[in-house]
Amino acid sequence: MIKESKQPPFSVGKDYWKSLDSLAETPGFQDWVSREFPEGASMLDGVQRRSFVKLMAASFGLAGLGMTGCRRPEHVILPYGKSPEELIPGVPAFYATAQPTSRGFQPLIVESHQGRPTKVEGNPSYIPFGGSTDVYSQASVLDLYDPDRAQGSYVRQTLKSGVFRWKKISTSTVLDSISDEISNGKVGILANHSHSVLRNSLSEKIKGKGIKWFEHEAINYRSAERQLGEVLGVQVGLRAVPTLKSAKRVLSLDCDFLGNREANEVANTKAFMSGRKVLDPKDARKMNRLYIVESDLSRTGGVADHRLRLESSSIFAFSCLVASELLAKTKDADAKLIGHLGKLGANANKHSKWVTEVVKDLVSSSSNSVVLAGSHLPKEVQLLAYTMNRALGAIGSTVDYIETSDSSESISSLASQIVSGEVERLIILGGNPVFQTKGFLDWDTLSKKLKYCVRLGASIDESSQIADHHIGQSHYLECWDIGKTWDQTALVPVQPLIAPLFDTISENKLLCHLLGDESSDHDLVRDLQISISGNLSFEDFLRLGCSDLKAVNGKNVDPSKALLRLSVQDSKSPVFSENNLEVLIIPDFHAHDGQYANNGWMQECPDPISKLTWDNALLISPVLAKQLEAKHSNLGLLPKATMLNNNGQIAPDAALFEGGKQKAPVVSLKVGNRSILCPLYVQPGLADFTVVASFGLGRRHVGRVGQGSGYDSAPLLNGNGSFILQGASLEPTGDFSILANVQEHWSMEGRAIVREANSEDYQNDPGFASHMGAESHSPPMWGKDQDKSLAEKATSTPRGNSAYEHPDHTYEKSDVFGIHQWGMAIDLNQCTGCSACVVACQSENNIPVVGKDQVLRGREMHWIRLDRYFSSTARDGAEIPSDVQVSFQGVACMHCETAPCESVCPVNATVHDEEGLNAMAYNRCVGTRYCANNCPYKVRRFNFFDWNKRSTDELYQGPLGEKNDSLVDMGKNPDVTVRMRGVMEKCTYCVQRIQESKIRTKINAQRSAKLETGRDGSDVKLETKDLKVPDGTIKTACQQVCPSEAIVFGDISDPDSEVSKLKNNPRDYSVLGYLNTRPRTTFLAKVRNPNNRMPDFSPSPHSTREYHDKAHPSHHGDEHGAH
Amino acid sequence: MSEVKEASENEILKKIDPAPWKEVPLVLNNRSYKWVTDKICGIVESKTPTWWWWCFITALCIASFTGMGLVYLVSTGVGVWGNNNPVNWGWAIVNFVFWIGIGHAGTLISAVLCLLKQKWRTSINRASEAMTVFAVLCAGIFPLFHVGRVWFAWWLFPIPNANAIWPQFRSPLEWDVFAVSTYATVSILFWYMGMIPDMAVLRDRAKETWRKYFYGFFAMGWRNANNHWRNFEMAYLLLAGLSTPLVLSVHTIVSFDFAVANLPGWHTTIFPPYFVAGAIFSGFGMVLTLLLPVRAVFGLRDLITQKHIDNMCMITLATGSLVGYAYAMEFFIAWYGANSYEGFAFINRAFGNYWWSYWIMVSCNVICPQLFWFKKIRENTPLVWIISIFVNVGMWFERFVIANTTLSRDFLPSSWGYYSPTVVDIFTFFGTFGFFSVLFLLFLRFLPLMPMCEVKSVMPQADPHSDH
Repeated sequence: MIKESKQPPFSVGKDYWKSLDSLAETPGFQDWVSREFPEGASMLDGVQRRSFVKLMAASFGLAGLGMTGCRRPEHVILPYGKSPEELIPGVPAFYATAQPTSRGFQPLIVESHQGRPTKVEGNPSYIPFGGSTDVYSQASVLDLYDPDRAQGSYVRQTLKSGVFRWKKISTSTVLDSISDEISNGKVGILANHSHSVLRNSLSEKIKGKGIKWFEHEAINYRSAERQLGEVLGVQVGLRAVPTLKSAKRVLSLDCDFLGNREANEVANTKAFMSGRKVLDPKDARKMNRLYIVESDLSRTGGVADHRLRLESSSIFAFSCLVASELLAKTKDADAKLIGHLGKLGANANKHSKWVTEVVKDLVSSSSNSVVLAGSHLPKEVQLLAYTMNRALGAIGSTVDYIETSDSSESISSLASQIVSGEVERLIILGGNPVFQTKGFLDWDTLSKKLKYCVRLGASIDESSQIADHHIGQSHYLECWDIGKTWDQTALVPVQPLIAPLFDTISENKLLCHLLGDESSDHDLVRDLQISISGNLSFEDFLRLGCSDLKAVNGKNVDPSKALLRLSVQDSKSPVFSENNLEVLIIPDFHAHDGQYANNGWMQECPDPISKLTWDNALLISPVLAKQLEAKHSNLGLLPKATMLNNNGQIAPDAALFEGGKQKAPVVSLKVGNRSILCPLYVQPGLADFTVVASFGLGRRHVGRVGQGSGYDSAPLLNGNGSFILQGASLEPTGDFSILANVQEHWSMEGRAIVREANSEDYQNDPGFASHMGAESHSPPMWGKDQDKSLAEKATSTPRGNSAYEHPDHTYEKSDVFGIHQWGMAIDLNQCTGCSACVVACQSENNIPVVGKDQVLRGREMHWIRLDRYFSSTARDGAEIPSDVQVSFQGVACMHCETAPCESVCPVNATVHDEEGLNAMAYNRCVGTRYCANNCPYKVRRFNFFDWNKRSTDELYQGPLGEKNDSLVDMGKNPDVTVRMRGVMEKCTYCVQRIQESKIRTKINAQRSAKLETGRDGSDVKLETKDLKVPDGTIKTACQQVCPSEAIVFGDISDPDSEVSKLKNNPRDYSVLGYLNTRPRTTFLAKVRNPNNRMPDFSPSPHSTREYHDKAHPSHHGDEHGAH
Repeated sequence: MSEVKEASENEILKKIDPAPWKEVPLVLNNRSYKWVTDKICGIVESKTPTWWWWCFITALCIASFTGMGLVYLVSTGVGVWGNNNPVNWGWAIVNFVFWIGIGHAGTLISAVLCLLKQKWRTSINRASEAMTVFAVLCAGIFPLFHVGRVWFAWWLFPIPNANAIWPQFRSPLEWDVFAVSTYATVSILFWYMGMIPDMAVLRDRAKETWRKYFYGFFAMGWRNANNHWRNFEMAYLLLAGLSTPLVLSVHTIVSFDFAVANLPGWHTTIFPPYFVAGAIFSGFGMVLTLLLPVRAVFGLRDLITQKHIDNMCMITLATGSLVGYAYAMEFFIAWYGANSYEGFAFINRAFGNYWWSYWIMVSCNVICPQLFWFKKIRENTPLVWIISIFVNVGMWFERFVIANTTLSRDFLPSSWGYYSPTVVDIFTFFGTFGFFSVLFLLFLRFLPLMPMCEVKSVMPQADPHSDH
């Protein structure tokens, strides 16, 4: 699993941690370190710019010591007396670390500028992630600089009036009082799930001391493994880890394995989408196929080739039907078992045609097929998935079942022990259990029973409210830790990039304190690493950022007995209707389980499917919306089509807009005796009577960012951990809520924007994309140059059949023409809509957060946006459809060669550079916004306010408003200008990364030229070829983070570059090519791979059909998709 | 062929007794030169009427809205307006084009009608020119302040600088800078120059010292000498010749702001003539709106006669119909051009999210002026005034429709949006009417609102062949 991080032939691109290490070996530096080390300077209290800079300078100076980038946490040190050699101010350092999450440790490389971590990137040494991360890791760096963090420790003081307040005290005082309290016994610790080896070893020791250990995780990815172990009767958990690289046929049972509802999204995406990479018709024949049955429209559902809408409660019966057919077709056939399963699956018989074809297809690829079950589904479905994978021979081939262990008690048992008095003192480590469990635990009563409660948390939140002390928890970029990835094939370190900004401590530190162990956590991590993977030195481990681990595969268990125990009763699901709805609770895209609720980047990153920001809504199907409309006249859920067009009507926006703002009716959702208030949002693709609530927003005790965002669905959760509820009903309250939706219109309106074909059509006509769009049926504007590649069309100035004479001053032959010509290709077939690129870009390019109010006004600033279109079989498009296909398209500045924005700027602020970049001179911009109007792709973003200077609620105060907390500024990338108000901005192709690489290339060329010639100075002549940046060296932020490698950037004048190859692919096309903008970013058309025997087979993708209907209206009424 | 004798011809004439061609005089009731002088100068010389003060103070208050709106805008950011992405130009550009359009009638009346020897222009040209100048001043506010960093707006002027950066001469906004500033300069010159002889009259009649100095300064030593008149006439003719192409060029170039862009609904070649027609249309609408009350208040019925109103109504009717033709032709071309984006843009205009604004525009601009076919309506002054207001409203909406429907729904449906103005938008625009009124009231109070010399030249007395 581990590969040595390859250093390019000369040091180009990321200069990982190596140079600093060599720096540390110089005797001068060693000497300097030993001399300049004062002991025991006072701890920092609060962050001030001056002391911060001092601290950072020092910690950076120590970067080269054996500890690779970290000072020993006990010491606070003074700035350089003299700058260490080879330390170049302005050149960032990169360190390997990891983000501990409930989905396993996420291996990372973090960029640090003068000691300030600014950008998180995936660690390429961990192959399943391959240098990618999910959207949450990208956003996590912002939490480090969150002004609303707990900036130390606090004690709760009750004032005379009865209200209480938090008074700041030193952490060491709190630790002392904890020591006193635990000596009285009856102590319990409530923690999150953790994949940390260190914490697990500490928790074992803690348990040995008689302290009880409880764990709770709201979004419990580990429930499936526990349940499967239980139902199979094995003592351990069995975690299904799909290895989708070789998977040809995948059936997903409500399993969002490409999205945030399952763990290991990045690895799954990378592996699965690599099986959908189609570069020529041969690949198309080998392309994998995804079937999904689900109640919600997940990102995985968006990628699927066949999608069946089914309530989650009915998935059990459906799975039985699939299993019985599948077992009948494989050699494991046991008539009794098959009959039993058939009986259980009888409820799903109406889908039998669908199922039969799916099973046929799965069996035909046998061990290359896999069945995946959602982790929120009951144990029976986990068992059925296991059975089917076993029958297919998939175990060991496309899915591994690895053994896991978990010996903690649940939060319910904690509650009962508090009630019974067995636990009197509680330590809450991280998480936010009070918020997450308030649906089934009465914390008011429980907290009264507790004699003492201390809370370690990143911020003062709901859980702190029951505590006597709150201890600020260090961010993961401030601590040491060591843990495993989700698939348990790698051991990864968490090493701090920065000393704790505030008086905070880590979870492990607190546990050590409880154990009375004063050894440093650095030493603990080192010792653990050496004991686990001794053949790799600790230094190498830190440099590489991960070390190989062997996951323990579960024993092959015969599931028949367990299967026969399943009863028909369980498989029955109620008939759902408007008055008996199913509720599916999913982790919120923005906040996950609530932990990112105060993260502006996550709040403003649109939900990939609904495109909502700063809010969650109760998603309901169009069918349900219609029924509600009929019952309640003034809901306005389903707007009328907003115009007439030549096909009759145009698709209305997905919800009702008043003055451009989405007005969502607020309803009361009742499930049994619980109810919540939430706004409705009509979402195509849902099971008719399933409503989808998301969990994690609507928090009460949260920082300024998360305040007032969304509704809280936690009261719906019950103690059994089920995320599927039944018997719900909706009652409109008559109120309305305004939702900030960044994409109001769902339909592509038959425009050839995302071009798609089915695999079969693609094999017959690989160049289908060039036969679509206005450019394909207007007079050939390229004339004799028609067949040139898009790369050539963008970099040269073909005149086609122009009758006019042109003087030959062709730019591309001139001296100023750059030696590189940058370009980008985005493979639409690879995009799952994960949105990591959006946040990665935001982090890299200092893109401000504008807040809900400004998003409502249409002023979001994202440089790359992910357009999501739905297309349907409904011909007129005037009604919101139920069955849709989803198409994603990442759109950033296209860097047009004949850019419409450039010619209209009256002050020359946006100009073309010699390497084809459409450059933006912020200093020169006066802000006429003409460029943004004239951009056909609408990718330009205007600073309507001083976003960076003022917080989002002070924007309208002008000079009277308060300035932003400067803490946030520390996370800014110093290589990118922070834009002021009144200027336009947009994607630059990460020009700072391009420049950095060009400078490095030039330095290296100069060095080797000096060595070769022995001469120095201006007489050293550099060849053009030496100055060319090797392909693949520069990765834009969006490209780097993309798990499915959908984005490729490079030099399109180099025919061997990867981007050139993609641009020569027949699938490549320019969006709105007919405008002759000659964009440098082109797209590779999407290829879907449906099974033509399926009952829902459509001969061409819905969007393609819509396009043909529109482009050739005379053929309207012909066979669908004929062209 | 038989020879026709002259005598017999005369006989025929005698026989049929043709009615003499009776030209409606441009000044009614046989008024004398002195009456004209007293009337026009009297407006300026009499005691300031109370209504004037009320109007002036009200206008000043309204104008302060613009002032406050701009102070807030500059101190806080363009975000205080309703602009967004995709509608990056909101009311600001709509208002700019609206005011610039109004500024068209003045020059048309004074220059084009002068060259075409339309004598009836004389009693309305001064006020129209004043309106032009003030409208251009109002118009100038918007493009100046709509930019994000107004303190750098001077970068639009080609001023040699240390950075050696020139403006971008390919940008229609840059052309706007030249077109509008040229237009403003020439209009002010034309207006002022035409006033010189009248200033001299006021100077000569002045009793108070300040008047003597004030008008004396602006009269530039006019002595009514023959060579003064010769130079004046020649300069007037030259300026008329110079401004005539400007009437066409300014709005042509303003229309390029849209037509040069590549957006569906903007990128059309019909825009220049259509904009010019629209501008003249709105200009005459505004002239009617202003002069009918002025005529009533100052009792100028003998000078601004029904003939003048008739003529203005007919021009409004003609240009309104031209504009209507342009609307129809846009639709035709959108269909005939077979570009689906273009087709969509126009269907969207009429039936999309801003359908209401489109139909306000059509009813005000195309349907309303058709009433001017009827003599009865043209003679009903209050009704003419109301229709002229409709014309103004309709023309504002025309610019709104063009700017907003296209931007709110262009190429990629993912980026479609909606624009609504904020209070700041509304008040800033509303305030410009106050600003305009302040200037116009000052003009009425202190400057001769008709060119006396020119009016006199078209009076029956000026014609030596007339009976008088």
